[in-house]
Amino acid sequence: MIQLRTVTKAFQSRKVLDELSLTIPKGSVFGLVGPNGSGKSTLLRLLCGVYRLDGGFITYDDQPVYDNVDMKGKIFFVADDPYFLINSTMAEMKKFYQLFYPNFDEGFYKELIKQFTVSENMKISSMSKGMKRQVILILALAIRPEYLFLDEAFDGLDPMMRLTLKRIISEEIEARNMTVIISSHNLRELEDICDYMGILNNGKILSSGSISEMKSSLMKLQVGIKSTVDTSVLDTLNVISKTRTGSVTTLVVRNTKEEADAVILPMNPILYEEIPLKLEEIFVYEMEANGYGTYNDRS
Amino acid sequence: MVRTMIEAKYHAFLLKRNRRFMLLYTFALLLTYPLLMVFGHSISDIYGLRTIGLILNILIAIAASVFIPLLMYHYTTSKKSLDVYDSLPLRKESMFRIHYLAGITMMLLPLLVSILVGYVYIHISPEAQALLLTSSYYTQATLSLDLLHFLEVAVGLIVSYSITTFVKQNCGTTVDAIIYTAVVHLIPLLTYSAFYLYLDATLLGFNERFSDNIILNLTPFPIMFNFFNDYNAGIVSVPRFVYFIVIALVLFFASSYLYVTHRSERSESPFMNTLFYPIVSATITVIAMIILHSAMQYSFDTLSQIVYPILLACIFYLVLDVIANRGFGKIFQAVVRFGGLVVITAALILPIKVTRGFGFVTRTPDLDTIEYVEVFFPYNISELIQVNGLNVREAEEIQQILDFHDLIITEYDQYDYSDNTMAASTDYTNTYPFAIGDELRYIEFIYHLEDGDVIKRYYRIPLSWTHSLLDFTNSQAATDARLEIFDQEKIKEVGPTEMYLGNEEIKKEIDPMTVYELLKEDMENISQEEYLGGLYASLGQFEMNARQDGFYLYSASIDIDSSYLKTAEYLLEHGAVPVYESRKLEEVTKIRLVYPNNENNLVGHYSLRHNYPMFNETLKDSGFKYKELDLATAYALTPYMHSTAYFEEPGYLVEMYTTDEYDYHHSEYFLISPEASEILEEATSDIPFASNLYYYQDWDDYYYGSMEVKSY
Repeated sequence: MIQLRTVTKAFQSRKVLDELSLTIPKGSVFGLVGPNGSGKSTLLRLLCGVYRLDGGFITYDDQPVYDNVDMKGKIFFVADDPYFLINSTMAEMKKFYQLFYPNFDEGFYKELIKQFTVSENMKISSMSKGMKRQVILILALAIRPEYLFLDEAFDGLDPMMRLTLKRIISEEIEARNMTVIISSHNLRELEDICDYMGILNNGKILSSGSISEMKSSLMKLQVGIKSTVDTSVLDTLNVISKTRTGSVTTLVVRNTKEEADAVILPMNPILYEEIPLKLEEIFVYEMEANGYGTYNDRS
Repeated sequence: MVRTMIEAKYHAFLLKRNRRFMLLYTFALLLTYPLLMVFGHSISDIYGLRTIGLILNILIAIAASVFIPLLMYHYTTSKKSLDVYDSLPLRKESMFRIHYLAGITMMLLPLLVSILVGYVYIHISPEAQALLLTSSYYTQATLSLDLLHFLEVAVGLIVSYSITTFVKQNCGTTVDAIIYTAVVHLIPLLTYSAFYLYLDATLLGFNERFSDNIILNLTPFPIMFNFFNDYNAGIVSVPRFVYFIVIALVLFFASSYLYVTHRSERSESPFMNTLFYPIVSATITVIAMIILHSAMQYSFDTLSQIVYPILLACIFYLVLDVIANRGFGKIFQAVVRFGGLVVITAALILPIKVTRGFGFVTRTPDLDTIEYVEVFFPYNISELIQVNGLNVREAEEIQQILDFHDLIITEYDQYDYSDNTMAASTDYTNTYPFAIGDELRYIEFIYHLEDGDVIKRYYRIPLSWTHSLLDFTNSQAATDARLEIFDQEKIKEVGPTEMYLGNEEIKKEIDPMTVYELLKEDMENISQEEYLGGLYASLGQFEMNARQDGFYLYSASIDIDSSYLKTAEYLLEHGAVPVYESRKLEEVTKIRLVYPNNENNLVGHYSLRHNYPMFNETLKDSGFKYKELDLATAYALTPYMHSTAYFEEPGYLVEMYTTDEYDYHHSEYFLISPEASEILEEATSDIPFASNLYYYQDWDDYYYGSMEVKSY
């Protein structure tokens, strides 16, 4: 389990993470989402010991990570723009990582090469963005880390490779109880693979929990009511978003179904249905509720 | 154990990864040494090429000592690469250490290869082998000596490498690292120079020469070239060797600390360590202000000495700030900070000025605390060309020195030497009023105290002040110094050269050893009156060379004149002719009187046997005039003309032009003794200051050549 307690990080005078607290269960796939500049990449770098905390603490089963060799041996971080030794090939990078990660699985490495169809002896500098990402993912997975942090994991990968990556991650989690944290703007992709999610904004966690919990925390309702009926009663619900098109009102509320029924049903709606929310929508509505973006109440 | 293996493997990985660079570097080193020697055809060629090759070798290694740390820690200049390195399961301290040692290996291993290949080459190449047999510098060539020299070079390189590494840990970009590596290398030397220059320009009497011992410890480069001074000495200075090892270790640990505590997020910004730039830029700016202020004290008025250094240093500081901040965004704050630096600079130097070096200027030691005093006079006391100092031990004589010293201080006290100090000024016509028309000479006092302390003072004073010291020319100290040249322990060899005595044929009859013995006897017995004055006829010069262990030390050149009775008698018996008699009057084409244009125009003086030409540009530039005399007067003056003389009363000076049988033109100066005043009465009737010689003068601007005597 990874625990973050009142984690604070500032760059000069600007606070990027502000007393952030979070718990990431072992063996889970945790999706870290947030707007640009919210602190996702900073958080990942703190988690893998690249940055030093300014406040709070981060522990892995009660072990700190910064300059902790044993802990770092279990972690691998894939940055959004990965670094490779100058003029190196994948084979050379493999030798580099093999020095530091004794668990490097040569057999698994070769399997992955076949699956990702990347040439081991080609200069990485001459590869495309997608191919470079495949290289670093192969190396990361071959190291067999207990904790894998992926910053923009799917960026540059074609659909086939994305599916392959998701499959491999799932297999590794099942086989070794690997914990994965993925930071991405592509919530649709995250929805397929993540168990948990945390929404980061202005250095704080807006909300976090399992995907199902997060989905159930908001409800999207479509309500059609006769024009003669006063719809102001709808405002008694915990409305996150409200739009009206003709006589149909679309609501996103932070209420239970029962609470919603209690308010809406007495209005004898012509139309009343719950529309499943996608993760992306949850993210957008949560961000709007916190004043980020322009998609406000249009009623 | 596992960690150690990982570190060792990573070290090997780094070397392998940089193998192409190492090959290129090794090739460059081998090309300079020993391969350059292959082109030598003679022993001196090979020796010279070996020397040049070794120097180039070291210069290449010095360049590597700056380049390699930048290469080894290049990854710290990119956030992208630090994401990898800082997340690796290796302690930061270990990561730093491995890169440091790998860089040292890359720097030194090829150099060692070059030295070893050179050693083998010298021992197997028939041409190079001759070096071992013939050169006195290389007769003890052994592998252990070569390795000791390598160690000396290595320690200097490691310090240079460590300085670059230290700077690199403070800088977030390669460009800033290169700039500040150069700056940090220079700061120790510049700091020393700044304060030395300031003290030299401000404190009357200060002249602690740049201390080799200090300078050699302020930069790691000289130690790399130590073995050129004495190849066979092994490690030339063990204390300095150890000192630099300590410096390297300090820098290593400081750099390691900086690396471990560095904030990865500060990569790609100019400075990883936010304290580095303010400290370095402030230091270099303060140093620049002190140096500029000190330099300007020589030629600028007080206001300029303050304003110009501040303005120039401000520009310098602001330029540094613009580069550091990559723009003008913080220029206003920089100006404010600069104001603070001006205050700091003033606080550093003003107390020295105000207190006159905390008593340095006015302090002279008490007589009873002095063991002896070395005095370096502005003229030749002891006949040794390169030594003109005396060790004064007699209490009475020491007191004379102290009195004279106090006189100098008193004279300067009357003059505000903070404005164009006399001590510093080379253009005396603009400064010290009664130096106009006079020349400046240096004088140095080195008091050796009973408690082991040494007090040194150095002054540039008008020559005319030193006349009272001429009594010293026959003091016990002076006599001892003069006779030093006959010390067989020091003068191992006396060698002959040409001697012109007016008649070249007679020199074959002169036995140099006889002259040597007679001269020694005469110098031991000559009285002060005889030594100082009288009208003596120059007979020539006697030269002796001092050698020690086969090395040339110095030459002693003694003017022989008729005051050395036995020597003169011997030379005259063998056909020597007094110089003035050898001059043929029919060759005289012009003669003119030389006189000052005002009564304060002192010509100055020398001791009796000084070799320096008396008249040079001084006469032409400092208010002297000439009046041509007719040839009849010239002929009448001949018996009264002297190259060397001492007059109790003022005499005259003439300039005589001659053309010899080869049609060469000569211009010579002569003193005219007071007895000739009647001859010159008519010529000087309209000249108020014709007589300008208040003290005795000596000059001998002829080079007669010298005779050397072999003595083994």
